[in-house]
Amino acid sequence: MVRRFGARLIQSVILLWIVSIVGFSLLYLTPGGPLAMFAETPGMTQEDVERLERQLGLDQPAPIQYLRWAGGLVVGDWGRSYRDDSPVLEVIGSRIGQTFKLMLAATAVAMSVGLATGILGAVRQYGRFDRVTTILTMIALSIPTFWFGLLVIYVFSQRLGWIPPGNAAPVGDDSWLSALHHLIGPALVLGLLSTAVWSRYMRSAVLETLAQDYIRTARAKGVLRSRLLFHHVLRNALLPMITLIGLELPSLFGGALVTETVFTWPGMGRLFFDSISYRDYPVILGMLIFSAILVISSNLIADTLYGVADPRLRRR
Amino acid sequence: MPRLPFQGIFSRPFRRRFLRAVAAVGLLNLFSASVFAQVPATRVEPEGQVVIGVAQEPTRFHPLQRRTEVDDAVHLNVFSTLWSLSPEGNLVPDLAVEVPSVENGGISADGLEWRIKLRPDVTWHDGAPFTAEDVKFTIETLANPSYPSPSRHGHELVRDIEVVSPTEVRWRLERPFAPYLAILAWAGIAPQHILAGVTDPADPSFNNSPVGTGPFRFGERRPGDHVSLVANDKYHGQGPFLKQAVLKYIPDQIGLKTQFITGAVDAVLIPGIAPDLAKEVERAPGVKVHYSPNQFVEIIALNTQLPQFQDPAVREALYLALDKNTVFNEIYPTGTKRPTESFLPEQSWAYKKDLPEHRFDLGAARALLDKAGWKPGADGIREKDGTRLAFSISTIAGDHLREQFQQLLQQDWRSIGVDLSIKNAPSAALWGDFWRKSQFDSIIVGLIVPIASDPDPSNRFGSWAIQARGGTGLNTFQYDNPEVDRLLREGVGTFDRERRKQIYFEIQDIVRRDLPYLPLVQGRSIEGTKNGLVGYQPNLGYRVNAWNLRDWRWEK
Repeated sequence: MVRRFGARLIQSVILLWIVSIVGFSLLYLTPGGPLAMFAETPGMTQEDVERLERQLGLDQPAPIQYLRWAGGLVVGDWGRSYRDDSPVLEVIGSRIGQTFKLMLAATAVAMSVGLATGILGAVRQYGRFDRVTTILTMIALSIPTFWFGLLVIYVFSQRLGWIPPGNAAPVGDDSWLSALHHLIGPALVLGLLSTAVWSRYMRSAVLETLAQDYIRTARAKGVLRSRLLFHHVLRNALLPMITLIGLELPSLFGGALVTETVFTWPGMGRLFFDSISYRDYPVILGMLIFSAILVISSNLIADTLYGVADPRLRRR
Repeated sequence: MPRLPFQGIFSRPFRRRFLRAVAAVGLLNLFSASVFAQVPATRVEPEGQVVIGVAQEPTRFHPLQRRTEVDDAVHLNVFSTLWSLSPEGNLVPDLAVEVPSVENGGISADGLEWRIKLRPDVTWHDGAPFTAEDVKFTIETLANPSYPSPSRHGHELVRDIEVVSPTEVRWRLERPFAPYLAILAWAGIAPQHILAGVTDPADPSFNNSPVGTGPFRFGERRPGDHVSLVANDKYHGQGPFLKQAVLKYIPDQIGLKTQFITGAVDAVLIPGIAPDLAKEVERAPGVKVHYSPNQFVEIIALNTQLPQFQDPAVREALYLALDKNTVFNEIYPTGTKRPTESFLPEQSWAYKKDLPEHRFDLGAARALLDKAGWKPGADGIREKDGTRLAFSISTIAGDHLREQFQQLLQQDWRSIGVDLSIKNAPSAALWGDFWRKSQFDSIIVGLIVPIASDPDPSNRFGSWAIQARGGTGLNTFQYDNPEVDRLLREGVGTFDRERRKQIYFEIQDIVRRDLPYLPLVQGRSIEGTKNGLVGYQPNLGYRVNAWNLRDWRWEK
């Protein structure tokens, strides 16, 4: 077990190293550096732009720039944002709370509604409920998020005035009630898509389990329906859900660009987008490494959880 | 006993009142005569707040370092300059007692010696007094080649800055340079007592909590969300009337519009309301839409060194075959553009009104090309001495309006025997060497020619400003005219505005004749304010119409 974990760890470090090289090279190859936006600034001459490039170290050859950055990364210095000179980790830290709040709310909606509809749909396969939810999930899966977001804002905010047209909180109002009020719109929109995903996965997992021999056996020996469902079916059907949690975990911190943009939510997705538009290389690379670490570690966690949930894996 | 009208007129209470009244009138006169128009006793208590929606995020607040236009909204209200620009384009004293000129002796007759007198009554937001040392520190830092200042343009000419007294500073210019007056109107003065000791220019502490002398103190920044500014009750000028001004970052223009008409934001500035949403906003209750001219002049830049474009007849024929009317009426949304013949915005003091007006005349265009010896070949495309009249036009890929315009051009120019191909690219690829080093054939671009509102176009038309030939500047047309060069040099060398005006009139005439680019339109920003909000006033001297938040207030 420990040996396997060690091997996975080494694999992860190598993977991170590759990610850092690929990410850096991609950025380096894109035309127009961080100072390109100042090319047409009245009053800034070409000399000024070149002087600033030199001062930021952008005139150095790519390998040297990479080594400088990667070297800093190893010792915990992730560089400073070009946008406000703040340390990259601080910049990420300033956004992660908002994203986590939003994603947690969305996931709570998605998991509760998704799992429930999935289970019910599977238990009465091709029943009326199943057919309706199947259609609804297909619609939810195919609606573009930005369009749905705009629709929600138009109907519930512009027309009805029930929810705010965006923002995490009004300026100067830090009460939790107002925060909750602002959370409704984006959490619902974001949750809708994952609800559909959870529901589909859960439905097929339950269906698959229901077809197993041991379920037939349990039924044959007269196990109560409810006990059968909760004890025999769900315990087994939830196993693949752990993988799904592992996949969803990084996005809890990674943010959702489209929803965050439509609802003016100051989270990680928008930070990434803004950093790209501003060519804020240190922050873009920092977020890349950060999310790579998240993906790798949540895979590790999911694997570990598998071991906990499934005794067969523990023995191996 | 009936009282006589005069009785008691000089009784003591009345006399005291009388004396007080006389004193007050006297004081009032004194203050209105002096430059310190601000009387602390008449200060209005600031109240209320305004939330301004912007689609870019203000992040850089260090006055000596690079910044973008949205950052200016913070800079212009937190920091003060020696003098500022009025909407009419005049310089108005701010930290300086008066704007130096040759007439008032602030600038020597040869334009080299400058003497600036400063107000004695200004304090920094932290309470420290503002002095000449701050001015000296600011200019020296901006000119320092090893400091990451946004531009050394103008400041690099300053020599021997000397603090004569806390309220007077002097320097010498290496050569007379008239635009420096306007450049200083963009240079926020930084606090020497805080920044002199900071050795690492990338230290973010000042950037994140700037201290200035402006009408607003820096409140806080919530990354990705907003920046708040708080009224400075010790401001040395008029205002502010608002307790708080907030710059709310809303990343997309649809969100900006929705938040504006639902009342979540009180004004929409950078970049304003998207042209295709303007009509909807106009119909919304309780808000006003402003079509405010900006400094952008949209042109078709020509790379005049291409063999096709070296013949002036070709450039003129292309201009004749440009259907400007259709462009206005069919392509650009109403109210967003104004036709122009100049490179300067109409509001500039150097703008020449009566430049020859463009006309659309395909016949004349054909005749002109025939006369110049460009003969149609077998495929109908004209050629001369082995050069085909074929070239490409570029713009930002995905810019729908400009793409439609390109197709219109393609048709019209084809009809006079010109083969136009379209070669668009993403903006990052466009504004690099492709633009700066003149690797394009022709390109549709919005230009800002004035620098800090000074009309001097040296950076665009001086032959020394061609990067493709090793120069430093943005003469991407590769326009090279010795007469214009001479005028440009003369124009920056004199402080006489009338003389300068004549010079820039002449340059506009020559450039209009030579056509190193085809002038199209001057842009307008579509901005919005909630009814009852007063103080909004467009000012082409600045990049953002939040330049005067000290005047903004809610109507009672």
